[in-house]
Amino acid sequence: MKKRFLPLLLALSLTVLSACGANNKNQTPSPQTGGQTAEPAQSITIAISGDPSTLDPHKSFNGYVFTVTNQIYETLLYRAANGDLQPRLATEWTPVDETTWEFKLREGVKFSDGTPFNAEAVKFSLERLADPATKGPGAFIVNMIDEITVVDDTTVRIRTNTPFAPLLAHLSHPVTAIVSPTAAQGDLSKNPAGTGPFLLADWKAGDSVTLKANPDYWGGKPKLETVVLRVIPEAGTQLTELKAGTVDLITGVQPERFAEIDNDPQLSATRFLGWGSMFLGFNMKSGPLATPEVRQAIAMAIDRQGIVDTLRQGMAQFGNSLVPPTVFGSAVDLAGPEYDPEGAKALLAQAGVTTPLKLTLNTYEGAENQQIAQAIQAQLAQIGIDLDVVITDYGAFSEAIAADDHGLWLSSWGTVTMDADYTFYALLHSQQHGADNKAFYANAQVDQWLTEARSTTDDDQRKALYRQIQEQVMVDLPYLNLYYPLSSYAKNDRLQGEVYPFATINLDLRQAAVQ
Amino acid sequence: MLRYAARRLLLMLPVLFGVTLLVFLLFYLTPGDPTRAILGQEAQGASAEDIERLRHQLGLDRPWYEQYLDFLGGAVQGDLGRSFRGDRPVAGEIAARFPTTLKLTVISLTLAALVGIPLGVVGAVRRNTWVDYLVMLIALLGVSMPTFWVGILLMQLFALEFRILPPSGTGTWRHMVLPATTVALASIAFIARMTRSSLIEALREDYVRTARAKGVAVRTVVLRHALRNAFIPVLTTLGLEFGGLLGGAVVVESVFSLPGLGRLTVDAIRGRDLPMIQGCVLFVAAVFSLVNLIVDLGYAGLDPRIRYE
Repeated sequence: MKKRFLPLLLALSLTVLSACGANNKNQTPSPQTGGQTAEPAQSITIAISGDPSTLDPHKSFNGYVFTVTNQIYETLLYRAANGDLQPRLATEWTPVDETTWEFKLREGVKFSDGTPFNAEAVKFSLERLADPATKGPGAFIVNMIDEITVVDDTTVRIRTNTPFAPLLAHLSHPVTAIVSPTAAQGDLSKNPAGTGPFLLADWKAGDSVTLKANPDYWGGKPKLETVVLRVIPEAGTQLTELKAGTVDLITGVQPERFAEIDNDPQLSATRFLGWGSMFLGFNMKSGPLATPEVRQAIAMAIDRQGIVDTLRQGMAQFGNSLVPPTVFGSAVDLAGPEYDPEGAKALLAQAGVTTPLKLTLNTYEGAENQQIAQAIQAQLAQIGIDLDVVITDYGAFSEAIAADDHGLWLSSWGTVTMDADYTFYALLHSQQHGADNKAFYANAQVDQWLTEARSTTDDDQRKALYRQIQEQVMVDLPYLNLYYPLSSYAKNDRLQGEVYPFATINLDLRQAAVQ
Repeated sequence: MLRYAARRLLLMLPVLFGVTLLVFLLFYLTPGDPTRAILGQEAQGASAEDIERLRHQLGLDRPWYEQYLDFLGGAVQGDLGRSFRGDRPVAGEIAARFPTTLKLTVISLTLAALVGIPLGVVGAVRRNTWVDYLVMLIALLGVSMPTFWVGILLMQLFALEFRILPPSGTGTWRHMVLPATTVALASIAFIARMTRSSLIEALREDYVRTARAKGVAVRTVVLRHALRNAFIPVLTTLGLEFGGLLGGAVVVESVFSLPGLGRLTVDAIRGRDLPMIQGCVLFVAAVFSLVNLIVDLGYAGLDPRIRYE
């Protein structure tokens, strides 16, 4: 046996090992992913939960992609942590007429490939995003744009097909990043060229993206020399890495681990209101849920404050508006159904509903969704509603509620433009049946208010319209907001100066430094 | 033997063809709309027309057989297409992930064989003594503990308590120690048990008694005569484990943040990224068939009675 088999095995494993070894050599010179090796002073590692599938901001609509592209590229406007729209690549904007905005662009800015940033680049980028050939899933963000006109090198006009006040908010969305027209002739998915504070240094698919400071950044070279974004899918592993000192910032913290982080003198965890809401949807088209009293009874039977207090362990904030208070147009003090299971029972009886009433609730996998779905199931059982909870992956979930034969569904929603129009138009307008209005909500008055709120640029008037819309929604009850999930991150205190508005994709490291 | 190998390689073609067809049909039977999945949770606000437009851009509005033939036409020429999510070449993505998977597989199986086979031999020789019981208890423990739990445990111990190894990720050989050990712990048990039982059987054969009667030392009889004959089922087990691991070890890859094929495949399935799913499954099926062929050819090296004509 020694004579014939061992040499064979050895030869085989040697060939394979040498094949691996050759690859290993390529990876070792990168000190950033070495974990324990000494790192240069101004270098940090950030854990992200998923893999960016591309580095081309126009070709994806995914948070992991935007987390990376937002460091390399910039948008015309920027949503600051206080909710204000701030200048970024555009310095000023003024309405020309009902449908046209004029933008003054920042001067003296260059893309990292040397191409000058100008009105042509803006026109090119936004048209590229909308172009069907780009196959950009985020094209809908700019589908109201009719024409982009280059006035001069630093002035551009954007005309929309109807009056569209939220345009500014849309132009702060990471998918509207301005890319170098020269670099876009090549493969932007792996050779990005933007105007942002960081440049791509290295990308190992599925493993990490390494960024280095852009020395020519118009806002001044960032203090951080290197930023490594490491893909660490497991929240538990992220925390272990943070505690081991191999990662400086983690983006997903499980609620039950906060105490552990707070007890560590070197680490700190932050919780804050983001742009998300968790809501329950009712298919009003047919079946028992078409009866307003049934929806009302369900809303009264769910102890929403209790869910926030006991189940979410301080990781949620209660509210009736479908968008959190951070979003423009949210009605913070909106009144809603009070928890009253006895009243709910009476309401069902009054409507002549025979109990037990069988209903289905669809949601998608995830500890939070499962927990909330089960709580709702238990609470509805008390008023004689027998809820069948169906938990699948997101793809199957979206298909389950795609037609019109679903019942209730539980889903979270992010108002990523931070403007209520984004959520309200999609969820409430009757033209959105078949898209995101899966409640089949149709109220001509609400439709009209939604259109009106798009047409006026007067912020106070828009807020008043959104208030009216939300009050009507509380009456009709196509959706019931449960709570706003808090965003959270935890970091090693050696990292200072980072700004974290609403979600990971907006992480601003321009002033950050290692202390 | 060459002719046999060539015939087996040819036979792989219908197998791979069947696999792609099966994947395609399963994809269409599985609930979940790829367009919606690509837009994902973040892409709210897209209208029905926006969704239709995207469906058209991805070619998902064509009949399934047309899509399939299109894929097949490309695949025959070595083009696996572009992913739905991110619009990147599928072959390139697989090529970027495979080295990690290969490394993990080779290191962990070498480790498992180096520990598992001697354990099995000791168990067989000292059959039904406390040594045997101890060995089999260890093997049983290894196979009974869920991988994710072992992985987390090892990570806590070596990365946080002792701080001698990095918790997860890639880069140096030290990053591979924990994941490879985790995978090996599960495989050691299989290999040890298979070695033990087939060696016990071999030790009962007449030629073993003859050899002992001739005065050949126990050690020589066990290692040279019996073990060699007992090795065929062990090689089969090793081959299956090898082929299986090359398909990706999803759990270990997730716990230890390794960019392997397993995570790529699972992410593709979750995202209903058809070209990526097709590419991954086709690649894994081809690798698995090849490994099986190599194992079959290896039998002839072990047992001269086995001939491939």
